[in-house]
Amino acid sequence: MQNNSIFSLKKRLLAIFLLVSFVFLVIIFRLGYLQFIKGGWLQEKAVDQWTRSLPLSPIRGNINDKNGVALATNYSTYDIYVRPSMVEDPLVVANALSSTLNIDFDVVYKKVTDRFVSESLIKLQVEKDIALSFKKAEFKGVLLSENSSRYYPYGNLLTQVLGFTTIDNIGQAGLEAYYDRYLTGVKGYILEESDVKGVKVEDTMTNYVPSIPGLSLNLTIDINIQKFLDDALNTLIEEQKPKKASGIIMNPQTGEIVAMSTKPDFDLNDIPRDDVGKLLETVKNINIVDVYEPGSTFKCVTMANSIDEGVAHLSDMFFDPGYRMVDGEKIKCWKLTGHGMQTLSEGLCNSCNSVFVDLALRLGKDKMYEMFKKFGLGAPLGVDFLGESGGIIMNYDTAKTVDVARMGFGQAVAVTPLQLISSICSLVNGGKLMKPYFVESVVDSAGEVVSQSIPTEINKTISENTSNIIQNMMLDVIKQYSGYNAFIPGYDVGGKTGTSQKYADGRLSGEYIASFVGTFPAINPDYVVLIVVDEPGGASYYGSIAATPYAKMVIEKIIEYKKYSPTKPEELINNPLDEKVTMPNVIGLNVYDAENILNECGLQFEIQGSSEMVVNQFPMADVSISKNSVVMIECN
Amino acid sequence: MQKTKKLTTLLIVLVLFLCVFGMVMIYSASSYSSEVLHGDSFHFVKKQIFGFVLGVALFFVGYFFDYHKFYKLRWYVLAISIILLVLVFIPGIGISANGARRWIGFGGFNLQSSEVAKFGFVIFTSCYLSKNYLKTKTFKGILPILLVGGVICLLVMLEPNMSVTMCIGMVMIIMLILGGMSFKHFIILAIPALALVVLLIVIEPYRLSRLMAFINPWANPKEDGYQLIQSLYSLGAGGLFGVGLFNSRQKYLFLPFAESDFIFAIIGEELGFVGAVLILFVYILIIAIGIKISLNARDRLGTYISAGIVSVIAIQLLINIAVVTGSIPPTGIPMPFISAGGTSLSVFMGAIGVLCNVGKGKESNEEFKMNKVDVILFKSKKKKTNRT
Repeated sequence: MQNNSIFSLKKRLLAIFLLVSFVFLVIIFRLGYLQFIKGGWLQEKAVDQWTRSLPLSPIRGNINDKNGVALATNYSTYDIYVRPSMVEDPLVVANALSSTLNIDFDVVYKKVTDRFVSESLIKLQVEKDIALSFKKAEFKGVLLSENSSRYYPYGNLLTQVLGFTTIDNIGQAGLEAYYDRYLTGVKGYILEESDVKGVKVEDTMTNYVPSIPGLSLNLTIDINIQKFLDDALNTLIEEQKPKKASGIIMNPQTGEIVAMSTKPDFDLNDIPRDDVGKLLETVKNINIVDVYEPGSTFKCVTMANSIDEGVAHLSDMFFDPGYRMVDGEKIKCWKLTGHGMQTLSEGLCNSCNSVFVDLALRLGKDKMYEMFKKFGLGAPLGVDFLGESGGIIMNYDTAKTVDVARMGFGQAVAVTPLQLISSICSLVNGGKLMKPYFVESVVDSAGEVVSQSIPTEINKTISENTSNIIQNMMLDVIKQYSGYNAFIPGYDVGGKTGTSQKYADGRLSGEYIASFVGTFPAINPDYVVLIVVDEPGGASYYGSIAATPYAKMVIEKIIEYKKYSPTKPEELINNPLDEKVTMPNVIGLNVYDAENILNECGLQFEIQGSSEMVVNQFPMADVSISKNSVVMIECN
Repeated sequence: MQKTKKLTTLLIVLVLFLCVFGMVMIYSASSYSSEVLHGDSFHFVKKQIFGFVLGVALFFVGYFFDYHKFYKLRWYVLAISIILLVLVFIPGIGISANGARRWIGFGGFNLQSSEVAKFGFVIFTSCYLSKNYLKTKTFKGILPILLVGGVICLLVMLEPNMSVTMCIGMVMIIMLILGGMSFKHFIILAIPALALVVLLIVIEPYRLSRLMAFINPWANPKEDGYQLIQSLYSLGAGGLFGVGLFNSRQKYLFLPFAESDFIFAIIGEELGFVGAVLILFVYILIIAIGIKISLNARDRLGTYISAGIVSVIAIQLLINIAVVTGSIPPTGIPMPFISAGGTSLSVFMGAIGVLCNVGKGKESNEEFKMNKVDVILFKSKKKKTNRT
């Protein structure tokens, strides 16, 4: 019973008090451990979660043309948020938001009255005018956050060249992607103390580091000339109904790309992101990333190189029976009846395949491959654009003599349109292969030039003298031969047409690519224009009909825009194009007879098909056309 | 006599200090979250003031109500406690929140039944022990306490409310020890209790991993460890002297339940180690005064009641700060007098009233029928000590 006495109770009470005190002591030690020994480490982690950094997006740099006209710029949109705790009259605010922004009232009202969130998003990317109307109305609790969105004032112009950005302003295609690093600028940030949801805590310090705007690009593109090219290609699309059409205008002296276009295109302000098929189909800049067989336009290169290498002379004569036999294979000329005897120069003007087979064989395989290398074919030129193709040159070891012979007139070799035009530029600028480029200069937001492009010569291709000869030959092509459809009275235009067959899976597909390369002025040109028409669907697939007239349209506009004075003013008074002839009817005739009739009329012609009977013609009989025009007869 | 009066006065001053200090800390800890969630930065403070006013009333009831009358009322006290606990489960009366039914509501006022039941249990047990303390050597003698305690624990566990169950269980153990339970019985009871805990863990192993989250809260910082990590950040940020009153950063919604179960973390953050230890010192003083009152009580009933009340305060406080400092697995229990919670505050103030009533200790000792055996033993013991 001793233990049950009141004294035992007291002992037990005191023992419990001691135990409690001991636990207290332990916990106080634990507290001390946390607050002193671990204190610094815990505090560091705590500070980390108390602060948040708000990024400040820099303004993306503009893309301007040569004249300073903005091609890609920014405009402000606003994200609209609501902070329910600040809203005074939820009904009025929700009503205004739902009616102006076209959102269901119930949805908005729920957000406006939701007390369990500090802020909720109502709508992203609201146009400036609409957003500012809320600012004016001074609704408490409605917050606007300014954003900058990309805007392309010319919409469909330069679609594939400029490219576009993601919704977050990151370059995704075209120059926007290639120069993204320059255009983006440097992000700034606001460092502020916030609660767990990221809402700023009042009366706390804010650390503000402003963003640095992106650099702007000044392009070599001239928006006016670009418009001329686009107009011409739009007309081409309408009249020839091709699968695709593209064009490049280059300054041959510097390598500046003055204009570049690919059709069909899309509006850069309305990117078909939902229609992936259409986007993939139209987003590619085929001038740079796709290759094609250049066909007869390439003959200029073979010609120039042959003269330069001394394997051909202006006095050489060539006989064309309509074909050449190489290693037992028959290589046909487009004119099956043959061109007969012709000079070197006439060979180019007639675009006679046989002559170029001879030249290719005279140069030989080694010199041909040297030529490709010299002209930058088979490897990218290094243009400032993503995904440049280098073209396809047959492996040296597998190329047979007959392949080399075909390469002479632009077959069995695939190049990008940009490579072709660069090669042609080097022929007419005294023999300098210039590196093509888009960006003239990079400037910062204060207008200071950060970087200035300098024309770069990649290779010396031919001698100055050979260049002069070629310029005159190309002038002749326009004046009297297949390029006559580009003839502009009073002015010297040079050029060469091209027609090539398309291959699909290694076999002829029956489709064609028509092209034309023009130089203006013909001697010491300022502009070289290339137009490539993929699968023309009009009257003829020949370059002279499907491509040449549209290059002429562009050159005429350039003459007007740059106020070129005529080199042959007499032609303006006595216009050779005014000399009309009537198109005879040759359908049903033997092709030799048809040729004779057309020659008598003073018309030039291209022959489609390989039978002896003319089954169709363009234009139709009795149409009045200019003397020397190129017409088409079909023999199938 | 004079000395005890001084002690009760000091006790009342200390408790009032804690209540007022609590309201200041509640304002500091909850003003931001209340503004954000309820649109009123005084949301919790207002509730606490209401609880305080009610508490003052309950204090006076306890202070002037002679604690000997509890003996007659002991079955009513027990019945009310159990009825309140059962009402929680009745739809329409019971209110559930966060997946637990812990409150009953009437006339816009919510009451947490287990807060009342805790003290009801103390009163009932004290009354029982004061009469039957001689029987506590036998298992039969402690059975009623075990039964009543078991029923109350079961009802609270069903809510569920793990922490209050723990608290009541520990109060029961203390009362049994004070009641003179033999060491043998203690061991016999402890073994199956431990076995039950092991069994519960074996059945569902996730309990263990969850329980053990307090050892390394950074293993799962977004879920199980989140609250504890936030609590530790608060204490760590406080350092020696704290960041200053009202300057807590953790209260910006980082630390959940900053105004109630984790208010000690905010105290540690704003007032530092020094402030937190000072507050703990106030509690130790209150506990010491309570023990002193218990030791000086005129009769066993007074001793048991006051010791029981002090136990509730001490156990609840220790569990609370052990959780906040990450010393034991997290469980939600308020800090007496300081944490937001109207029922808790008012009931604790009422209990302090009873404690003071015991402390007054005059007039009533003759009226209360003291067990004759006890009186004889008491006197003989006194003689014995006098002799030696």
